[in-house]
Amino acid sequence: MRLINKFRISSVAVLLLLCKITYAEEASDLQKGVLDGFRLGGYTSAGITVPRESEASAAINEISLILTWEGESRLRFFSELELEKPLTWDDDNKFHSKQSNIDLERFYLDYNLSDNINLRGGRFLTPTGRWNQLHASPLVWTSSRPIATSRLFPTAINGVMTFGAISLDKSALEYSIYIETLKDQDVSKDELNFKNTKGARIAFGQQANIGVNLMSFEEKNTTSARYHMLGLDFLTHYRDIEILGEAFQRWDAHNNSSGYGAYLQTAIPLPIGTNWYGITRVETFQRPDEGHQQRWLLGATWRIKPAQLLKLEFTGGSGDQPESPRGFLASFAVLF
Amino acid sequence: MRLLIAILLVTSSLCLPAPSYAADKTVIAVIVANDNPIKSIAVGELKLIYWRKKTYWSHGQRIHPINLPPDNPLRLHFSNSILGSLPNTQSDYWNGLYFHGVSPPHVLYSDEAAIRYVQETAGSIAYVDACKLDNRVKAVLWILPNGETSTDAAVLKCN
Repeated sequence: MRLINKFRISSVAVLLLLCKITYAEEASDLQKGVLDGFRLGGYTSAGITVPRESEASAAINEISLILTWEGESRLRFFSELELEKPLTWDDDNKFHSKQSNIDLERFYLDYNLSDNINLRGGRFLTPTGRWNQLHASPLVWTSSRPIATSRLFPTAINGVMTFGAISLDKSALEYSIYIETLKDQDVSKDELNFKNTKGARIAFGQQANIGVNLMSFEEKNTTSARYHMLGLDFLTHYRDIEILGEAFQRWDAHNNSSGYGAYLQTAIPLPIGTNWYGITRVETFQRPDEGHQQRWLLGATWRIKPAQLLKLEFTGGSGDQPESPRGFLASFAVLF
Repeated sequence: MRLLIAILLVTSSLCLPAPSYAADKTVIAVIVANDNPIKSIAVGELKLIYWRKKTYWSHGQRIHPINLPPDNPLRLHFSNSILGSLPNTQSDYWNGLYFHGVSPPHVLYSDEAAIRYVQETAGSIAYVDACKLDNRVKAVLWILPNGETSTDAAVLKCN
């Protein structure tokens, strides 16, 4: 494992020397040569957590580096290497890096086959719902993640996918179909263990605002090995209010309900200053081995710049999850 | 759970209100290089290109879309007519795409720069004031001041 980590770090370090840092809002120059096609970006966040039933902590949550390459050919490369919790502070241990971990989040090659068909091979996020595909801290309104988007289905796989977009009259239809071809090689002890995943997603609307997801997978350590899942998601705006929702329902091999989850979130501009938003979220969640949980969230987020967010939130409800503790959370996130 | 799903379905039917801006009276020409084999382009296809959902022409060439600056009146007109939103409301979308390694269209600062770029760069596409067009590039779509589109050059009346 150490050897793999060293390889991951050294390969990215070498590539860092070859590429140019870009920003989301900055247009890129056209590539002139093979090496000019490399681009480096990423995101980071840091915050404090004051849980209701355990001690407070502060941490750099992650430093994520995104490296891409594209030239004039039909090939495109993408990778994301994440350093999780590189530095944490709590009252018992003061500063430490015990929770630090390096994770190769994504690593894939895309090949454009035709107008509407692209092929992807490697490690990628499963295109299931919205949050899972855009989970980077500067892209979401809250520090905590809805439980339904992380504990019901595999969030990433090693496999192949075909995807594309087809233009309709005034909107577009986006599709993706994927299958796992290589078992996850690096499962941590707290992580849910899924395998033999396959699924599909279609999304449609002005900017693909409504999504339908189908998925089938096996999960270890549960009574039924094989699950099927249906998911629905949407994103819309009413006046200046952003409304986002996702819902998932799982069934086991005998078509019995075997877990579900959903959330509804709003982001409402606040009159207290420029780019302050009030955030509300309600969640419901149930897994076969964890019972039913509910969550509510009330927060305020300041969009300092389009790629910089300061988030403050209170979360309540039943039960605790590592990614969604009840209590107070504050964080700052930046896309670079 | 059922109640929450019902709320999800009801709220998903809410519509996005149309953004407002000071309408420009210029006719816009969507241009490509003279050697690009396409003769016209559908609005739906143009939309996919400028949202960076379609990145290759059907003949296999990578597409290089060009934008004018966010406050340029032509950009506002193009963005509102074709993409259905104004540039200042699109940052969430572009940040999301950036997370997947896709950059927004390249920005050039004048019609002349856009024409030269399209002339010299294979696979590029841009939009300019139709009355500034000459034979260095070819137009494949016209966008009228009212937002309607045409593939017929007869819509153009320059002084």
